[in-house]
Amino acid sequence: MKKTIATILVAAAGLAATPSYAQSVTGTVNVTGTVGGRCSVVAPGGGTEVQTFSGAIDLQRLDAADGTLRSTLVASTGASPADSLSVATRVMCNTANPTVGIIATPLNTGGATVPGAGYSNDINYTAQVKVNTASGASKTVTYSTLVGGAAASAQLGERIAGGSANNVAVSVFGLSAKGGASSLLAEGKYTSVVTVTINPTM
Amino acid sequence: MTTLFRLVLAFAAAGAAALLGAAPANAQATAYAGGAPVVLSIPVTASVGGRCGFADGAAPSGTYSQDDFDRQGLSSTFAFTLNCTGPSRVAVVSGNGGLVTSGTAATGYTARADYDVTLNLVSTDGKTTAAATCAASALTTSGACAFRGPASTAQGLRLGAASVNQTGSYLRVSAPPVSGGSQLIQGTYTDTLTITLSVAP
Repeated sequence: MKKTIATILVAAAGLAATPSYAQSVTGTVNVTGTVGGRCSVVAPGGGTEVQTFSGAIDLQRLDAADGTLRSTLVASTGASPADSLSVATRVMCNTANPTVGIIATPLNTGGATVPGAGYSNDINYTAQVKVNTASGASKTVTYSTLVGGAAASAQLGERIAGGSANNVAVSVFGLSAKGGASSLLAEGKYTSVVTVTINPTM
Repeated sequence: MTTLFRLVLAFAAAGAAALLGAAPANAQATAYAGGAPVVLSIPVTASVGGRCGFADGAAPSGTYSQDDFDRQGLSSTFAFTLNCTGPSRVAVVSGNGGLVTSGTAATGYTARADYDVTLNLVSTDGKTTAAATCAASALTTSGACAFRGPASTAQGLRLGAASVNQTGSYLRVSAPPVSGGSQLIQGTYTDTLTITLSVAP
């Protein structure tokens, strides 16, 4: 009888020490990453990011039949740019308020020779960059070569438009011959450069 | 003798309550009351449940940080060691269902980046393994991943053999550089993976 009692005591003690069948334990792993602010040019529909874009606004023949600057170029506006031409691209910026800048040089023949009185080989204009924003609105920044000086710049005030479509357009308008509207344009090839800078505003 | 009889009955009652559900064994006690023999059958049972945990100091733990992960991708492995005397299940919960940053993402942008989580489990002899991969987005508590946590006897990636202090098990996070789709907004992205372990009958 004493042996029987001892056996029962041992069995009860052993069960009490047994771990819970559904015992569970825990580990924790933290994963962290950063995405740096940047602006890049990406072709519509995707592709490799690049940091520059280029294009050409070819106004063809600048002079009218009377030798002065074509009136349509003179009358062009921001809403209706010269010859309705523009250079469009898709810029991706992942920051909340990118900055857009623009600067341009006058259209000229590049020669040192100054044409005689009543002639001109130097044409001023206004360059503009229009940027579509995430809200569906747009922001336009302009630069007048007549005024010159430092680049014009402005913050968008919101994100640049996402998606796969072009969201930046560069154009020129309001051309004017140095020397006045009656100036005859000297023969030559006229060139200029419009430089647009879009940065993430870190 | 009367005193001894009361003792036997007391242990019989206590044993029946405490040992419920365990494998049976038999013990027999004989007592006498008023000169007539009384035979008492007392089941004596016991069991040893499966022990399962992470080995001391070898639970999955740590922090992985990757700058510019949208361009560099993600890749990090967290080794851990199981200490389970039988089959086990390991499960994972992603706190955010991916890497998430604060801020509002406009159309065309996103503040969430998904990534893959891989579990690899190794048994003691190395002959039994279990491996699976799920997107972090499927590892929320309502996610569809087979090893979405928390672990239980029926939930989690099952390793069908013991793994006692066996190295080789790991959790891996990975993602390629982001390509296409919505653009990730600038910011610091975080997620927390909680790994739980359970015995698995």
